[in-house]
Amino acid sequence: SPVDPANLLSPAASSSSLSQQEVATKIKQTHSLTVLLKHCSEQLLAEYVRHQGEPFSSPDFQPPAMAVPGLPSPSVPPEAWLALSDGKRLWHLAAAYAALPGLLGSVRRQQAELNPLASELHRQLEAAARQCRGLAGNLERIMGALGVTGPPPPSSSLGGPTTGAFLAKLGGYHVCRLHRDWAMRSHEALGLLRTKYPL
Amino acid sequence: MITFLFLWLCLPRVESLTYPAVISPQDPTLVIGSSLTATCSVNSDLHLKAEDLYWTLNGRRLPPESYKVLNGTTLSVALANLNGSRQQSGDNLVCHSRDGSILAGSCLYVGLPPEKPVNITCWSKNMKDLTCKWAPGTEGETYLHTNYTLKYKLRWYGRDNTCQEYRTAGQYSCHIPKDLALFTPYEIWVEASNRLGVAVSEVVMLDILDVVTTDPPADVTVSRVGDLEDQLSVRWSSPPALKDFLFQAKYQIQYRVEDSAEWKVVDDVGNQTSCRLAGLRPGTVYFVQVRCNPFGIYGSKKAGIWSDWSNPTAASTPRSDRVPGVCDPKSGEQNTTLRRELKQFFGWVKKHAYGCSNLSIKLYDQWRVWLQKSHKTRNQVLPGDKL
Repeated sequence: SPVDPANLLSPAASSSSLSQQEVATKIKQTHSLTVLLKHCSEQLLAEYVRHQGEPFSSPDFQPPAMAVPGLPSPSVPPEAWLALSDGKRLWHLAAAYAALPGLLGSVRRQQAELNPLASELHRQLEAAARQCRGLAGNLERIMGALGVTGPPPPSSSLGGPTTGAFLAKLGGYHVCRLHRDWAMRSHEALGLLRTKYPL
Repeated sequence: MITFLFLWLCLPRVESLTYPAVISPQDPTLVIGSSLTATCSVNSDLHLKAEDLYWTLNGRRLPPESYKVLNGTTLSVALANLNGSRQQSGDNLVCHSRDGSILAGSCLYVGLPPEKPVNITCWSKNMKDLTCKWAPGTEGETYLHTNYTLKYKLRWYGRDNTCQEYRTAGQYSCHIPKDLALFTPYEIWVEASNRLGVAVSEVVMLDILDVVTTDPPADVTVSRVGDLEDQLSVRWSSPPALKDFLFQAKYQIQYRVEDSAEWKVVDDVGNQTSCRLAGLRPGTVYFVQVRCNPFGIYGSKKAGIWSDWSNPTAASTPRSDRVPGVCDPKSGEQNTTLRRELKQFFGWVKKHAYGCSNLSIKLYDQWRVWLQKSHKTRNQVLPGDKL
């Protein structure tokens, strides 16, 4: 495989005991997980907006371009994303998936108050958090095998002042949207990684 | 979508947040039919004018006639005769700038206060627990999420307990699994609460021993009485759970012909564990169920609560007519030569042919039932048949 100087991956500095075969298998497995995440995150977003009412559930819903308290913003625009090295991409993914489970948990707690009878929504939010934790674990293994340093753990998530119901609905929307967008990005990134580390 | 993500991603991380606008009141709760005046105050940094704003409720634009400019940066809206909330998470009242972007929102909770829950009924399974169910007071909707809490206390000890396991026997039910006292009355009631208020049901008073039910009888078998064409013999065993308690069980049997929905009930079965059904139609398949009522627990003269019916058991009568009777314990047996000979044969097989030990006259009877059923279906015209 071609050596990319900008690449953070350095086989010589590899600290994990996984063989080339094992790494490739792990990558393939993780790629499959991102396929699942892509599908589930779309369903979750649809289920979420359904319960918040209009305008959230309208197909041309334009969420306000305002930052929601406590939600970290990923800092790489889509075009630059594809130009990154594998290692850098993995780094960003690891950071996102370290934060997402906590955020999804907060949304579930808020929805337990806002929509107490929406058991399917609650179930999907819990499943999403679980899947994100799974992906985070997989990414950690891959990064360890490839000698990529991980990001620092996320700062303590939302604990801020209680927001009003509308802001809670909006915040939850952003989290579900982010979850879906990151699922798409991770699917893309793992696909690229698979071609580089074929079985 | 991509451009939006881009835009959103490029926003700097803000520690202390300044919202574009603020709606007041935030998340009010209102009774159906009431009115509300809300205000939207935009942040002066945004250089938006009150005249440029508009309101929507659940995505629908509100008429400008209901707006009022209060000052350069504040616009109010007057809502009258509000309908019940369209979703339990609240109606979305939103303030927009002229280009349609959302500046702020507030959720309205419009509904009715709850009504007293009614028809509280409880039962105890084998004196080990208590399950209660009730009905909501309102026939229709309250539009607001209503929470139900079942509470109970011993009549003379004063401490309120709250039931924890809900929806065990339908939506409006709760299960108390343990620590229940016998021979002493309980007070039980249900509280319904939503954002608009609380309603408490009437208090029901009961002693666990008065509402005992048990499992249906076990091992229900229905068999022919020799060749008797109008009779079937039903046998069962008493529910094992109550064998430790001093009680008398009453039983009830219900039976019907295969293609009828009408059950016939045999009521005066008493404490026995077998009964003979008579006056039946020959050559007919019957479904039979048995249930149990644990009465006379610890010497009480009161009846308990009937158990569920046992799973239906089927059997069929042989052919020809006879005089009707009910649960007649005395009746002669008439075996045909064939059946008698078969019975002897199977007895011999059981003794002498190893590996054939599950052959018995019962198998022959089951075959006769099957024969009768398949004979019936063969003569039925099925919906897909061409005539």
